[in-house]
Parts: sequence; C-alpha cells; structure tokens
Amino acid sequence: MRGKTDEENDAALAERARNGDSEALGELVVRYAPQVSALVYQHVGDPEVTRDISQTTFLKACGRISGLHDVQRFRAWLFRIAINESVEHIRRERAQKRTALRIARVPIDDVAEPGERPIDRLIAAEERERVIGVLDRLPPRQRSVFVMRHFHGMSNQEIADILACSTSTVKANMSYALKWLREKLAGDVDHE
Amino acid sequence: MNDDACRGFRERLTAYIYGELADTTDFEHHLADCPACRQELEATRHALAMVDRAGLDDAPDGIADAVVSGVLSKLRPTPKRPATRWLNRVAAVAACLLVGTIGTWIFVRTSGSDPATNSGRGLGLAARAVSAEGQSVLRLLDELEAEDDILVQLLGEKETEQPHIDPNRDQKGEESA
Repeated sequence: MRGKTDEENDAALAERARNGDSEALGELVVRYAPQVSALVYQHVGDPEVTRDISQTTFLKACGRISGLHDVQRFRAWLFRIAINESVEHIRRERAQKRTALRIARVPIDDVAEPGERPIDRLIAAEERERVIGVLDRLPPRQRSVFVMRHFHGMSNQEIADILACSTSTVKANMSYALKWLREKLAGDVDHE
Repeated sequence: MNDDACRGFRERLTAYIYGELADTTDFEHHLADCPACRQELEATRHALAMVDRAGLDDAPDGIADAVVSGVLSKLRPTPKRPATRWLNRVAAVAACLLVGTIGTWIFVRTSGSDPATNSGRGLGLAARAVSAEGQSVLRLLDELEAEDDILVQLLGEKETEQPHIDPNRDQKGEESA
C-alpha cells in the first residue's frame, strides 16, 4: 500500500516529467522499475520477456507522458500500459500455441531455501510449477485482477481505475480467480 | 446449510481473506454453522498459501536494475544529426556559389579590353575555382561527419536502436485509467 506522500511526490515528478524534465522522468523510472517488473513477471513469467516488456512499458510511458492529463493517476496510467503490454504478449503466445510457462523452468536451487534437503527442494519446485501452471491458465483479465489484488495489495477501486472497469467487475473477476485457484490447487488440502 | 447465507458468504469471502471486512461477526457465525463454507474458506487459504510459496512476489534479481539501465540509456538526448548535416551541406554549397558568382562578376568587369573573349575564359576559370572550392568544403564536411559518427558510436547512441513508439495505440484507454 502506498501513502499519500508517495502519491504527492509521484504527482510532482510526473508533472515535471510531463513538462519535459528528463531528470524527473529518470527518477520515475528508477522508482517504478521494481513494481512494474514484478507486475509484468507475475503476468508473463519469463525473466527475459519481463525485462523487454518492462522496458517497452517505460519507453511508451516516456513517449506519451506529455499527454497524461491527471498526474495524480500516474501510477494507474503506468500500470495500465504494463498490463496491456503483458496481456498482449500472453495472447500472442497463446495464439502461437506456446504457453508462457518458462517461469517453471528455473533451477530448483533458486526456489528452495538454503539448507533445505534435496527432496524438499524438489517438492517445492514441483509445487511452484503447479501453481504457475494454474495461474497461467487463468484468463488474462482475471489474472491481472488477482495479481494486482494479491501481490500488490491494491483495492478494488484502484484496480478498477487501472483496468477502466467497474468495481463490480473487479470483484467478479477476483471471485472467479479464487474459485479457479481453489478448485485447481485444493487437492492438497487434506495433507495440511 | 442456508443458500442465502452461503451466497452472502461467497460475496464477502475475498474481503474476509484480505482482512477488509469491517464486521466479521455474521460471517464467522455462518462459518461455525456451515461445514461446506468452512471447507471453501480453508481450500481458498490453502491455495493462496501455495501461491505465496511459489515466490512470485518480485521479479528475479537484477531484472529491475536491467530495466532501469536499459531505459535510461535510451532516454539520453540524441543529437539531431541528419537535419543539421544537410543544412550544413546546403549552406556550404550556397556560400560557394555566391562567392563564385560575385568573383566571376568582378573578374569579368575588371578584365582586359576584349570583353567577349575574356569573359568566356574568365567564366571557365571562375567555374573551375568554384568547383574546387566546393569540393574542398564538402571533403571538410565529410571529415567532420566521420568524427561525429565516431563520437556517436562511442556514446552507444545508434539511431537504429531507438524504440518505435506508437502514440495512438491504447491512448484512449490509458488516458481514461
């Protein structure tokens, strides 16, 4: 969650950037790179694709910032570009019959905690692959809603602003996403 | 089990899970009475715990830094070389022609008593002089441009790497966000 001061600073920076201040533009890139990269990664899964889409997001934002009317909504505006780029990539991948599951191919050592036994690492890696497979089959809009709500702690209203839809739509998409995850991952409930 | 109460439970499940339900009394009262809803809540929490363990909170290490350096390197101001180059060339050639024309005119006016003969020879000499002068200026400009290219390469600012930004795409939707 973000405080009022952050938003005010962002708005001031966005205002300067909109007026052609390249230093302010650079500061916004530095400030938002972690959030945008995470958001994109949670959509597309692949580190290299994440880097490319995040860069494209910022370059598009920089090219269009002079047309941004409400600097108070810079974050929503930027996230929307990132989500559009990510969803476009997912749809392109699906159209080409290539799934975006490369995230699951990360080395097991990168998943497990230090000191874990190999069998635990293997189990962790398998679970991770399963979670990612389930997330990957969510429709893009529901995935976006779930990612913003669960990983970024955004409110229904913030998500509605970003996706340009109603809060009812956000709630419905989130309910569907939770139902999907519950149904696809609930097989292990009895093990806990 | 009560259908209406279960429907109300499902509507408030997300808010309850994320700690956004102001009054949880009714919700928890229903949970105590309804095994099906209790199991649904448990299954949802379990699924979300699995998602959390998958380590998707952030992009892998180094990605954000790579994004910053990649974007900032492309945002550095690029010299507007092509337009300036052609303007320089046109200005130089125009200057040469002007000087040559004035020189020719002066030469013709101040040369010997036979204007018909001398003016023809004078024009030829003047034209050669203008041509030579123009060639020198163009060679000098080429050398300057070559130095400019080397500087640009050293700075890593290749124009072909500039991203294509389509200002119209999604503009309407993003502005409304």
